[in-house]
Amino acid sequence: MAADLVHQLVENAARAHPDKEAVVDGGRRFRYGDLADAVRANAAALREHGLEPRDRVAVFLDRSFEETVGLLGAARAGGVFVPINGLLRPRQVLHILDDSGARFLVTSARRAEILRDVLAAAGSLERILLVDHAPGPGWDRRVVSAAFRQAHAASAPPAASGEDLVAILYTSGSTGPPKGVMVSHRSLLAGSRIVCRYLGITADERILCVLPLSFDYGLNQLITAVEKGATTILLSFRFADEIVRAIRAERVTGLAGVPTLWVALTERAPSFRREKLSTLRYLTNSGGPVPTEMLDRVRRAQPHVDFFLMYGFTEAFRSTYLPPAELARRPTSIGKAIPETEVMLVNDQGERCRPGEVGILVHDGPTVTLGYWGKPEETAALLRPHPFAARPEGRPLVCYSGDRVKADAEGYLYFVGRDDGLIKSSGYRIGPSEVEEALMSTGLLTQAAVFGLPDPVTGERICAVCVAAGGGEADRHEILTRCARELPQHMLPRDIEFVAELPLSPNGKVDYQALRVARGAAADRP
Amino acid sequence: MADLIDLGDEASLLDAGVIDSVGILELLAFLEQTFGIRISDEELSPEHFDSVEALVRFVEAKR
Repeated sequence: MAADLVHQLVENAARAHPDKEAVVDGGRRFRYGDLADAVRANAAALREHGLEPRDRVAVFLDRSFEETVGLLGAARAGGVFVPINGLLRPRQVLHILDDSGARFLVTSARRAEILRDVLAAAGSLERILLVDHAPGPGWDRRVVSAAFRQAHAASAPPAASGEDLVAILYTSGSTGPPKGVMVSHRSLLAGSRIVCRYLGITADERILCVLPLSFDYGLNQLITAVEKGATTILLSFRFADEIVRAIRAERVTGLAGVPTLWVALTERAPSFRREKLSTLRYLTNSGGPVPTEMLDRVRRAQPHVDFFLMYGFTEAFRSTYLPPAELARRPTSIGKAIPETEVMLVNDQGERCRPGEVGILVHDGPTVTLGYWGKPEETAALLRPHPFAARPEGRPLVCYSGDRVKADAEGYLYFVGRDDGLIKSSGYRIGPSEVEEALMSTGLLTQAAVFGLPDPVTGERICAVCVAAGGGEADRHEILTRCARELPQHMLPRDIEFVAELPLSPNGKVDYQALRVARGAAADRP
Repeated sequence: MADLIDLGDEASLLDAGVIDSVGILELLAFLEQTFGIRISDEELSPEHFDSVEALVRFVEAKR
Protein backbone atom coordinates (compact mmCIF):
# COMPACT_ATOMS: atom_id res chain seq x y z
CA MET A 1 0.00 0.00 0.00
CA ALA A 2 1.40 3.38 -0.96
CA ALA A 3 1.92 5.51 2.12
CA ASP A 4 0.63 9.07 2.50
CA LEU A 5 1.67 9.32 6.13
CA VAL A 6 4.99 8.64 7.81
CA HIS A 7 3.69 6.11 10.35
CA GLN A 8 2.11 4.08 7.54
CA LEU A 9 5.66 3.20 6.51
CA VAL A 10 6.04 1.41 9.85
CA GLU A 11 2.77 -0.51 9.41
CA ASN A 12 3.68 -1.44 5.83
CA ALA A 13 7.10 -2.76 6.85
CA ALA A 14 5.66 -4.68 9.82
CA ARG A 15 3.04 -6.27 7.59
CA ALA A 16 5.53 -7.21 4.84
CA HIS A 17 8.26 -8.60 7.11
CA PRO A 18 7.39 -8.57 10.82
CA ASP A 19 10.45 -10.60 11.81
CA LYS A 20 13.03 -8.55 9.95
CA GLU A 21 15.45 -6.51 12.04
CA ALA A 22 14.31 -2.88 12.10
CA VAL A 23 16.49 -1.15 14.69
CA VAL A 24 19.73 -2.21 16.39
CA ASP A 25 20.56 -0.16 19.48
CA GLY A 26 23.72 -1.47 21.16
CA GLY A 27 22.94 -5.00 22.33
CA ARG A 28 19.21 -4.58 21.78
CA ARG A 29 17.59 -5.73 18.55
CA PHE A 30 14.06 -4.86 17.48
CA ARG A 31 12.12 -6.43 14.63
CA TYR A 32 9.62 -4.50 12.52
CA GLY A 33 6.85 -6.20 14.49
CA ASP A 34 8.41 -4.88 17.72
CA LEU A 35 8.81 -1.40 16.26
CA ALA A 36 5.18 -1.27 15.12
CA ASP A 37 3.96 -2.50 18.54
CA ALA A 38 6.02 0.11 20.38
CA VAL A 39 4.90 2.90 18.03
CA ARG A 40 1.24 1.91 18.54
CA ALA A 41 1.70 1.77 22.33
CA ASN A 42 3.40 5.16 22.39
CA ALA A 43 0.70 6.70 20.19
CA ALA A 44 -2.02 5.22 22.41
CA ALA A 45 -0.29 6.57 25.54
CA LEU A 46 -0.11 10.06 24.01
CA ARG A 47 -3.80 9.94 23.07
CA GLU A 48 -4.76 8.71 26.54
CA HIS A 49 -2.94 11.70 27.98
CA GLY A 50 -5.02 14.01 25.85
CA LEU A 51 -3.03 14.58 22.65
CA GLU A 52 -5.06 16.41 20.01
CA PRO A 53 -4.14 16.60 16.32
CA ARG A 54 -1.29 19.07 15.66
CA ASP A 55 -0.12 19.05 19.29
CA ARG A 56 3.66 19.26 19.45
CA VAL A 57 5.55 16.38 21.06
CA ALA A 58 9.16 17.21 21.90
CA VAL A 59 11.54 14.24 22.09
CA PHE A 60 14.75 14.75 24.06
CA LEU A 61 16.70 11.48 24.28
CA ASP A 62 19.98 9.81 23.38
CA ARG A 63 20.13 8.23 19.96
CA SER A 64 18.09 5.13 20.80
CA PHE A 65 15.17 2.86 19.95
CA GLU A 66 13.07 4.92 22.37
CA GLU A 67 13.89 8.14 20.48
CA THR A 68 12.85 6.48 17.21
CA VAL A 69 9.60 5.26 18.75
CA GLY A 70 8.96 8.66 20.35
CA LEU A 71 9.09 10.38 16.96
CA LEU A 72 7.09 7.81 15.00
CA GLY A 73 4.57 7.37 17.84
CA ALA A 74 3.86 11.11 17.93
CA ALA A 75 3.21 11.00 14.18
CA ARG A 76 0.84 8.07 14.52
CA ALA A 77 -1.07 9.79 17.33
CA GLY A 78 -1.73 12.71 14.95
CA GLY A 79 0.81 14.94 16.68
CA VAL A 80 3.83 16.85 15.45
CA PHE A 81 7.21 15.55 16.59
CA VAL A 82 9.97 17.96 17.60
CA PRO A 83 13.28 16.10 17.92
CA ILE A 84 15.73 17.92 20.20
CA ASN A 85 19.44 17.20 19.84
CA GLY A 86 20.47 15.35 23.00
CA LEU A 87 23.56 17.55 23.32
CA LEU A 88 21.65 20.78 23.85
CA ARG A 89 21.89 22.58 27.20
CA PRO A 90 18.78 23.18 29.35
CA ARG A 91 18.08 26.75 28.27
CA GLN A 92 18.35 25.78 24.60
CA VAL A 93 15.84 22.98 25.23
CA LEU A 94 13.53 25.47 26.95
CA HIS A 95 13.65 27.73 23.89
CA ILE A 96 12.47 24.87 21.67
CA LEU A 97 9.75 23.78 24.13
CA ASP A 98 8.46 27.36 24.42
CA ASP A 99 8.80 28.32 20.76
CA SER A 100 7.07 25.17 19.53
CA GLY A 101 4.46 25.36 22.30
CA ALA A 102 5.07 21.68 23.04
CA ARG A 103 2.33 20.09 25.15
CA PHE A 104 4.25 16.81 25.53
CA LEU A 105 7.87 15.94 26.20
CA VAL A 106 9.21 12.42 25.78
CA THR A 107 12.47 12.04 27.71
CA SER A 108 14.35 9.90 30.26
CA ALA A 109 14.50 10.19 34.04
CA ARG A 110 18.12 11.37 33.91
CA ARG A 111 17.37 14.05 31.33
CA ALA A 112 14.22 15.19 33.16
CA GLU A 113 16.40 15.65 36.25
CA ILE A 114 18.92 17.77 34.31
CA LEU A 115 16.02 19.82 32.92
CA ARG A 116 14.27 20.17 36.28
CA ASP A 117 14.61 23.96 36.54
CA VAL A 118 13.68 24.77 32.96
CA LEU A 119 10.76 22.33 32.92
CA ALA A 120 9.19 24.31 35.74
CA ALA A 121 9.32 27.33 33.42
CA ALA A 122 7.98 25.56 30.31
CA GLY A 123 4.42 26.87 30.42
CA SER A 124 2.94 24.98 27.47
CA LEU A 125 4.10 21.58 28.72
CA GLU A 126 1.32 19.41 30.16
CA ARG A 127 2.82 15.93 30.22
CA ILE A 128 6.37 14.66 30.54
CA LEU A 129 6.59 11.03 29.42
CA LEU A 130 9.53 9.05 30.80
CA VAL A 131 10.68 6.17 28.63
CA ASP A 132 12.70 4.40 31.30
CA HIS A 133 11.11 5.01 34.64
CA ALA A 134 7.88 5.03 36.55
CA PRO A 135 7.66 8.43 38.21
CA GLY A 136 8.19 8.36 41.96
CA PRO A 137 7.18 10.72 44.74
CA GLY A 138 8.61 14.21 44.51
CA TRP A 139 8.47 14.33 40.72
CA ASP A 140 6.81 17.15 38.86
CA ARG A 141 3.10 16.17 38.81
CA ARG A 142 3.11 16.34 35.01
CA VAL A 143 5.49 13.37 34.81
CA VAL A 144 4.03 10.05 33.63
CA SER A 145 5.40 6.83 32.15
CA ALA A 146 5.69 6.60 28.36
CA ALA A 147 4.69 2.94 28.65
CA PHE A 148 6.18 1.80 25.34
CA ARG A 149 5.76 -1.82 26.24
CA GLN A 150 2.43 -1.76 27.98
CA ALA A 151 -0.43 -3.32 26.11
CA HIS A 152 -2.76 -0.58 24.96
CA ALA A 153 -5.95 -1.04 23.07
CA ALA A 154 -4.63 -0.66 19.53
CA SER A 155 -6.70 2.26 18.39
CA ALA A 156 -6.73 3.33 14.77
CA PRO A 157 -4.74 6.49 14.10
CA PRO A 158 -6.85 9.64 13.61
CA ALA A 159 -7.64 10.77 10.09
CA ALA A 160 -4.78 12.80 8.62
CA SER A 161 -3.69 14.10 5.26
CA GLY A 162 -0.28 14.12 3.62
CA GLU A 163 -0.36 17.91 3.69
CA ASP A 164 -0.53 17.92 7.49
CA LEU A 165 2.40 19.07 9.54
CA VAL A 166 4.24 16.11 11.10
CA ALA A 167 7.57 17.50 12.33
CA ILE A 168 9.29 20.70 13.34
CA LEU A 169 13.07 20.63 12.99
CA TYR A 170 14.92 23.38 14.85
CA THR A 171 17.87 24.89 13.04
CA SER A 172 20.06 27.94 13.48
CA GLY A 173 20.02 30.97 11.23
CA SER A 174 22.43 33.88 10.99
CA THR A 175 20.44 35.93 13.50
CA GLY A 176 18.26 35.21 16.48
CA PRO A 177 17.60 31.94 18.27
CA PRO A 178 16.99 28.68 16.33
CA LYS A 179 13.83 28.60 14.21
CA GLY A 180 11.48 25.66 13.65
CA VAL A 181 11.35 24.33 10.09
CA MET A 182 7.90 22.84 9.43
CA VAL A 183 7.80 19.48 7.65
CA SER A 184 4.68 17.83 6.25
CA HIS A 185 4.10 14.08 5.87
CA ARG A 186 4.21 14.64 2.13
CA SER A 187 7.63 16.32 2.12
CA LEU A 188 9.16 13.86 4.59
CA LEU A 189 8.00 10.97 2.39
CA ALA A 190 9.18 12.74 -0.76
CA GLY A 191 12.64 13.19 0.80
CA SER A 192 12.74 9.50 1.61
CA ARG A 193 11.51 8.37 -1.81
CA ILE A 194 14.00 10.63 -3.63
CA VAL A 195 17.02 9.62 -1.54
CA CYS A 196 16.10 5.91 -1.82
CA ARG A 197 16.09 6.35 -5.57
CA TYR A 198 19.47 7.97 -6.07
CA LEU A 199 21.27 5.96 -3.39
CA GLY A 200 19.62 2.78 -4.69
CA ILE A 201 18.48 1.75 -1.19
CA THR A 202 16.89 -1.70 -0.90
CA ALA A 203 15.45 -3.90 1.85
CA ASP A 204 18.91 -5.51 2.23
CA GLU A 205 20.49 -2.29 3.43
CA ARG A 206 21.98 -2.07 6.92
CA ILE A 207 22.32 1.64 7.56
CA LEU A 208 24.58 3.01 10.27
CA CYS A 209 23.11 6.13 11.85
CA VAL A 210 25.58 8.27 13.81
CA LEU A 211 23.88 11.61 13.13
CA PRO A 212 21.25 13.24 15.35
CA LEU A 213 17.64 12.61 14.32
CA SER A 214 17.05 16.32 15.00
CA PHE A 215 19.08 16.92 11.84
CA ASP A 216 17.11 16.43 8.59
CA TYR A 217 19.96 14.37 7.14
CA GLY A 218 19.92 11.97 10.12
CA LEU A 219 16.12 11.76 10.18
CA ASN A 220 16.13 11.01 6.46
CA GLN A 221 18.38 7.97 7.03
CA LEU A 222 15.84 6.52 9.46
CA ILE A 223 12.82 7.17 7.23
CA THR A 224 14.50 5.70 4.12
CA ALA A 225 15.33 2.55 6.09
CA VAL A 226 11.74 2.16 7.31
CA GLU A 227 10.36 2.86 3.82
CA LYS A 228 12.40 0.00 2.38
CA GLY A 229 12.13 -2.32 5.38
CA ALA A 230 15.90 -2.06 5.82
CA THR A 231 17.79 -2.10 9.14
CA THR A 232 18.92 0.99 11.06
CA ILE A 233 21.91 0.62 13.37
CA LEU A 234 21.99 3.45 15.92
CA LEU A 235 25.42 4.38 17.26
CA SER A 236 26.81 7.05 19.55
CA PHE A 237 30.60 7.06 19.27
CA ARG A 238 33.55 8.97 20.67
CA PHE A 239 36.46 7.14 19.03
CA ALA A 240 36.27 6.72 15.28
CA ASP A 241 37.33 3.08 15.55
CA GLU A 242 33.96 2.39 17.18
CA ILE A 243 32.40 3.16 13.81
CA VAL A 244 34.68 0.72 12.02
CA ARG A 245 33.90 -1.98 14.60
CA ALA A 246 30.17 -1.35 14.16
CA ILE A 247 30.46 -1.57 10.36
CA ARG A 248 32.21 -4.91 10.71
CA ALA A 249 30.05 -6.41 13.48
CA GLU A 250 26.73 -5.29 11.98
CA ARG A 251 27.67 -5.83 8.32
CA VAL A 252 26.80 -2.21 7.57
CA THR A 253 26.15 -1.30 3.93
CA GLY A 254 25.66 2.48 4.15
CA LEU A 255 26.77 5.38 6.32
CA ALA A 256 25.95 9.09 6.22
CA GLY A 257 28.51 11.50 7.61
CA VAL A 258 29.60 15.12 7.85
CA PRO A 259 33.09 16.39 6.94
CA THR A 260 34.46 15.97 10.47
CA LEU A 261 33.59 12.26 10.39
CA TRP A 262 35.92 11.68 7.43
CA VAL A 263 38.74 13.41 9.32
CA ALA A 264 38.10 11.09 12.27
CA LEU A 265 37.97 7.95 10.10
CA THR A 266 41.03 8.68 7.97
CA GLU A 267 43.26 10.14 10.69
CA ARG A 268 42.19 8.55 13.94
CA ALA A 269 40.71 5.17 13.05
CA PRO A 270 43.58 2.79 12.33
CA SER A 271 41.43 -0.10 11.16
CA PHE A 272 39.62 2.07 8.57
CA ARG A 273 42.90 2.35 6.64
CA ARG A 274 44.00 -1.24 7.16
CA GLU A 275 40.92 -3.34 6.57
CA LYS A 276 38.62 -3.65 3.64
CA LEU A 277 35.08 -3.16 4.90
CA SER A 278 33.58 -5.52 2.39
CA THR A 279 29.90 -5.10 3.29
CA LEU A 280 30.06 -1.31 2.90
CA ARG A 281 28.42 -0.17 -0.34
CA TYR A 282 28.06 3.60 -0.02
CA LEU A 283 29.05 6.63 2.04
CA THR A 284 27.33 10.00 1.84
CA ASN A 285 28.54 13.43 2.88
CA SER A 286 26.51 16.51 3.68
CA GLY A 287 26.81 19.45 6.08
CA GLY A 288 29.80 21.06 4.39
CA PRO A 289 32.43 20.50 1.71
CA VAL A 290 34.98 17.67 1.96
CA PRO A 291 38.53 18.72 1.06
CA THR A 292 39.67 16.81 -2.05
CA GLU A 293 42.66 15.38 -0.24
CA MET A 294 40.38 13.93 2.43
CA LEU A 295 38.12 12.45 -0.21
CA ASP A 296 41.15 10.76 -1.81
CA ARG A 297 42.15 9.26 1.52
CA VAL A 298 38.67 7.82 2.10
CA ARG A 299 38.62 6.37 -1.40
CA ARG A 300 42.13 4.92 -1.12
CA ALA A 301 41.18 3.24 2.16
CA GLN A 302 37.93 1.76 0.81
CA PRO A 303 38.13 1.87 -3.01
CA HIS A 304 35.09 -0.38 -3.55
CA VAL A 305 32.73 2.09 -1.83
CA ASP A 306 30.59 4.64 -3.69
CA PHE A 307 30.97 8.10 -2.20
CA PHE A 308 28.04 10.50 -2.69
CA LEU A 309 28.67 14.20 -2.15
CA MET A 310 25.36 15.76 -1.20
CA TYR A 311 24.12 19.21 -0.37
CA GLY A 312 20.99 20.19 1.46
CA PHE A 313 19.56 22.68 3.90
CA THR A 314 16.88 21.92 6.44
CA GLU A 315 14.36 24.24 4.74
CA ALA A 316 14.45 22.13 1.56
CA PHE A 317 15.58 18.85 3.19
CA ARG A 318 17.93 17.43 0.50
CA SER A 319 18.78 19.54 -2.54
CA THR A 320 21.62 18.25 -4.76
CA TYR A 321 23.98 15.29 -5.06
CA LEU A 322 26.95 14.27 -7.19
CA PRO A 323 26.76 10.78 -8.73
CA PRO A 324 29.87 8.79 -7.65
CA ALA A 325 30.86 8.29 -11.31
CA GLU A 326 31.49 12.04 -11.54
CA LEU A 327 33.57 12.25 -8.37
CA ALA A 328 37.02 11.78 -9.94
CA ARG A 329 36.34 14.48 -12.53
CA ARG A 330 34.79 17.12 -10.23
CA PRO A 331 35.57 16.30 -6.60
CA THR A 332 34.60 19.77 -5.33
CA SER A 333 31.13 19.80 -6.91
CA ILE A 334 27.88 19.36 -4.99
CA GLY A 335 26.41 17.89 -8.19
CA LYS A 336 23.00 18.60 -9.61
CA ALA A 337 19.42 18.70 -8.38
CA ILE A 338 18.00 15.59 -6.69
CA PRO A 339 15.18 13.79 -8.57
CA GLU A 340 11.77 15.53 -8.88
CA THR A 341 13.48 18.87 -8.18
CA GLU A 342 14.66 21.98 -10.01
CA VAL A 343 17.60 23.92 -8.61
CA MET A 344 18.38 27.36 -10.06
CA LEU A 345 20.96 30.02 -9.37
CA VAL A 346 19.67 33.59 -9.21
CA ASN A 347 21.96 36.64 -9.32
CA ASP A 348 21.53 39.99 -7.56
CA GLN A 349 19.51 41.32 -10.52
CA GLY A 350 17.05 38.46 -10.16
CA GLU A 351 18.26 36.82 -13.38
CA ARG A 352 19.35 33.26 -13.99
CA CYS A 353 23.14 32.99 -13.53
CA ARG A 354 25.41 32.27 -16.48
CA PRO A 355 27.99 29.47 -16.06
CA GLY A 356 30.66 30.59 -13.61
CA GLU A 357 28.52 33.41 -12.20
CA VAL A 358 27.79 33.21 -8.46
CA GLY A 359 24.18 33.42 -7.32
CA ILE A 360 21.79 32.31 -4.60
CA LEU A 361 20.66 28.69 -4.85
CA VAL A 362 16.88 28.46 -5.20
CA HIS A 363 15.14 25.10 -4.77
CA ASP A 364 11.80 24.06 -6.25
CA GLY A 365 10.47 20.60 -5.45
CA PRO A 366 8.37 18.38 -3.19
CA THR A 367 10.76 18.53 -0.21
CA VAL A 368 10.39 22.29 0.41
CA THR A 369 9.29 23.21 3.95
CA LEU A 370 5.89 24.64 4.84
CA GLY A 371 7.80 27.55 6.43
CA TYR A 372 9.15 28.57 9.81
CA TRP A 373 6.90 27.79 12.76
CA GLY A 374 5.27 30.98 14.04
CA LYS A 375 7.47 33.24 11.87
CA PRO A 376 5.45 34.60 8.93
CA GLU A 377 7.96 37.35 8.03
CA GLU A 378 10.96 35.02 7.92
CA THR A 379 8.83 32.51 6.00
CA ALA A 380 7.94 35.17 3.42
CA ALA A 381 11.65 35.86 2.87
CA LEU A 382 12.41 32.14 2.55
CA LEU A 383 9.50 30.96 0.40
CA ARG A 384 8.79 33.07 -2.68
CA PRO A 385 7.16 32.74 -6.09
CA HIS A 386 9.16 30.93 -8.74
CA PRO A 387 11.56 33.55 -10.17
CA PHE A 388 11.16 32.49 -13.81
CA ALA A 389 7.90 30.55 -14.18
CA ALA A 390 4.42 32.03 -13.86
CA ARG A 391 2.25 29.84 -11.65
CA PRO A 392 -1.41 30.16 -10.77
CA GLU A 393 -1.56 32.23 -7.57
CA GLY A 394 2.19 31.78 -7.27
CA ARG A 395 1.94 28.25 -5.81
CA PRO A 396 3.83 26.13 -5.04
CA LEU A 397 6.46 28.46 -3.64
CA VAL A 398 10.20 27.93 -4.07
CA CYS A 399 12.84 28.05 -1.36
CA TYR A 400 15.71 30.60 -1.22
CA SER A 401 18.70 28.95 0.46
CA GLY A 402 20.91 31.95 1.24
CA ASP A 403 23.84 29.87 -0.02
CA ARG A 404 25.98 31.32 -2.83
CA VAL A 405 26.67 28.75 -5.50
CA LYS A 406 28.03 28.70 -9.07
CA ALA A 407 27.67 26.24 -11.95
CA ASP A 408 30.14 25.00 -14.56
CA ALA A 409 29.39 24.79 -18.29
CA GLU A 410 27.78 21.34 -17.84
CA GLY A 411 25.52 22.53 -15.04
CA TYR A 412 27.39 20.96 -12.12
CA LEU A 413 27.13 23.11 -9.01
CA TYR A 414 29.82 24.39 -6.64
CA PHE A 415 29.23 25.80 -3.16
CA VAL A 416 30.91 29.21 -2.74
CA GLY A 417 29.78 30.65 0.60
CA ARG A 418 27.10 32.66 2.30
CA ASP A 419 26.16 36.33 2.44
CA ASP A 420 25.37 36.19 6.14
CA GLY A 421 27.41 35.08 9.12
CA LEU A 422 25.95 31.59 9.56
CA ILE A 423 28.74 29.20 10.61
CA LYS A 424 28.94 25.57 9.49
CA SER A 425 31.10 23.65 11.94
CA SER A 426 31.29 19.86 12.46
CA GLY A 427 28.24 19.59 10.18
CA TYR A 428 26.15 21.86 12.42
CA ARG A 429 24.60 25.18 11.48
CA ILE A 430 25.70 27.57 14.21
CA GLY A 431 24.10 30.97 14.63
CA PRO A 432 26.76 33.53 15.63
CA SER A 433 24.19 35.53 17.58
CA GLU A 434 23.43 32.55 19.83
CA VAL A 435 27.13 32.22 20.69
CA GLU A 436 27.45 36.00 21.16
CA GLU A 437 24.50 35.96 23.54
CA ALA A 438 26.11 33.23 25.64
CA LEU A 439 29.38 35.20 25.70
CA MET A 440 27.57 38.36 26.80
CA SER A 441 25.66 36.46 29.50
CA THR A 442 28.98 35.82 31.28
CA GLY A 443 28.91 39.47 32.38
CA LEU A 444 32.64 39.71 31.66
CA LEU A 445 32.36 41.41 28.26
CA THR A 446 30.88 44.59 26.84
CA GLN A 447 30.92 43.40 23.21
CA ALA A 448 31.42 40.12 21.37
CA ALA A 449 31.56 39.30 17.66
CA VAL A 450 31.49 35.65 16.57
CA PHE A 451 32.38 34.34 13.13
CA GLY A 452 33.83 31.28 11.41
CA LEU A 453 37.33 30.78 10.02
CA PRO A 454 38.43 27.84 7.85
CA ASP A 455 39.50 24.82 9.91
CA PRO A 456 40.89 21.46 8.74
CA VAL A 457 38.98 19.39 11.31
CA THR A 458 35.60 21.08 11.76
CA GLY A 459 35.26 22.92 8.44
CA GLU A 460 34.86 26.22 10.22
CA ARG A 461 36.33 27.15 13.58
CA ILE A 462 34.22 29.36 15.85
CA CYS A 463 36.14 32.55 16.70
CA ALA A 464 35.15 35.29 19.12
CA VAL A 465 36.61 38.78 19.16
CA CYS A 466 35.57 40.52 22.37
CA VAL A 467 35.84 43.74 24.30
CA ALA A 468 36.40 42.95 27.99
CA ALA A 469 34.47 44.83 30.64
CA GLY A 470 37.01 47.20 32.20
CA GLY A 471 39.30 46.93 29.15
CA GLY A 472 42.30 44.69 28.58
CA GLU A 473 41.63 40.97 28.76
CA ALA A 474 39.08 38.93 30.65
CA ASP A 475 39.67 35.40 32.00
CA ARG A 476 39.24 33.06 29.01
CA HIS A 477 38.84 29.99 31.21
CA GLU A 478 36.07 31.67 33.20
CA ILE A 479 34.33 32.78 29.99
CA LEU A 480 34.39 29.25 28.57
CA THR A 481 33.25 27.70 31.85
CA ARG A 482 30.24 30.01 31.98
CA CYS A 483 29.46 29.60 28.27
CA ALA A 484 29.53 25.81 28.66
CA ARG A 485 26.42 26.06 30.85
CA GLU A 486 24.57 27.65 27.95
CA LEU A 487 26.06 25.90 24.92
CA PRO A 488 27.12 22.37 23.97
CA GLN A 489 30.73 21.71 23.08
CA HIS A 490 30.30 22.09 19.32
CA MET A 491 29.06 25.69 19.79
CA LEU A 492 31.82 26.93 22.10
CA PRO A 493 34.31 29.41 20.59
CA ARG A 494 37.74 27.85 19.97
CA ASP A 495 39.57 31.21 19.82
CA ILE A 496 38.81 34.12 22.12
CA GLU A 497 40.62 37.33 21.30
CA PHE A 498 40.39 40.70 23.06
CA VAL A 499 40.45 44.08 21.35
CA ALA A 500 39.93 47.65 22.56
CA GLU A 501 37.06 48.14 20.14
CA LEU A 502 35.35 46.24 17.32
CA PRO A 503 35.72 47.58 13.77
CA LEU A 504 32.56 49.20 12.39
CA SER A 505 31.31 49.35 8.83
CA PRO A 506 30.18 52.71 7.35
CA ASN A 507 26.60 52.08 8.52
CA GLY A 508 27.77 51.73 12.12
CA LYS A 509 27.38 47.94 12.45
CA VAL A 510 30.13 45.54 13.49
CA ASP A 511 32.23 44.81 10.39
CA TYR A 512 32.42 41.01 10.47
CA GLN A 513 34.00 40.87 7.05
CA ALA A 514 36.93 43.01 8.26
CA LEU A 515 37.30 40.81 11.35
CA ARG A 516 37.43 37.66 9.25
CA VAL A 517 39.78 38.98 6.58
CA ALA A 518 42.17 40.37 9.19
CA ARG A 519 42.40 36.84 10.59
CA GLY A 520 43.27 35.13 7.37
CA ALA A 521 39.90 34.34 5.79
CA ALA A 522 39.77 34.76 2.03
CA ALA A 523 38.31 38.12 1.09
CA ASP A 524 34.73 37.66 -0.02
CA ARG A 525 33.01 39.81 -2.51
CA PRO A 526 32.61 43.42 -1.31
CA MET B 1 25.71 16.78 30.73
CA ALA B 2 27.18 17.27 34.20
CA ASP B 3 28.09 20.69 35.44
CA LEU B 4 31.63 21.16 34.19
CA ILE B 5 32.77 22.93 37.32
CA ASP B 6 31.91 20.01 39.55
CA LEU B 7 34.07 17.50 37.69
CA GLY B 8 37.09 16.23 39.57
CA ASP B 9 40.35 15.13 37.95
CA GLU B 10 39.34 11.49 38.15
CA ALA B 11 35.80 11.91 36.76
CA SER B 12 35.01 10.18 33.46
CA LEU B 13 34.93 12.87 30.80
CA LEU B 14 33.40 10.43 28.33
CA ASP B 15 30.56 9.26 30.56
CA ALA B 16 29.84 12.82 31.70
CA GLY B 17 29.44 13.83 28.06
CA VAL B 18 32.12 16.49 28.42
CA ILE B 19 34.01 15.11 25.44
CA ASP B 20 32.25 14.09 22.25
CA SER B 21 33.72 12.69 19.05
CA VAL B 22 34.87 16.09 17.79
CA GLY B 23 36.25 16.83 21.24
CA ILE B 24 38.41 13.70 21.00
CA LEU B 25 39.82 14.86 17.65
CA GLU B 26 40.59 18.28 19.07
CA LEU B 27 42.07 16.84 22.24
CA LEU B 28 44.42 14.54 20.29
CA ALA B 29 45.61 17.43 18.09
CA PHE B 30 46.07 19.65 21.16
CA LEU B 31 48.15 17.05 23.02
CA GLU B 32 50.36 16.36 20.00
CA GLN B 33 51.03 20.04 19.37
CA THR B 34 51.39 21.18 22.97
CA PHE B 35 53.60 18.36 24.23
CA GLY B 36 55.36 17.46 20.99
CA ILE B 37 54.22 13.84 21.19
CA ARG B 38 52.84 11.56 18.50
CA ILE B 39 49.88 9.43 19.57
CA SER B 40 50.01 6.10 17.80
CA ASP B 41 47.10 4.05 16.53
CA GLU B 42 47.43 1.53 19.36
CA GLU B 43 47.08 4.27 21.95
CA LEU B 44 43.71 5.48 20.67
CA SER B 45 41.68 3.92 23.44
CA PRO B 46 39.35 5.35 26.05
CA GLU B 47 41.54 4.34 29.01
CA HIS B 48 44.08 7.08 28.17
CA PHE B 49 41.59 9.86 27.62
CA ASP B 50 38.78 9.25 30.06
CA SER B 51 39.79 11.60 32.88
CA VAL B 52 42.15 14.48 33.51
CA GLU B 53 44.19 12.14 35.72
CA ALA B 54 44.46 9.50 32.98
CA LEU B 55 45.47 12.17 30.46
CA VAL B 56 48.26 13.45 32.68
CA ARG B 57 49.56 9.91 33.25
CA PHE B 58 49.46 9.18 29.54
CA VAL B 59 51.27 12.36 28.47
CA GLU B 60 53.92 12.05 31.21
CA ALA B 61 54.67 8.50 30.13
CA LYS B 62 55.07 9.60 26.51
CA ARG B 63 57.51 12.45 27.15
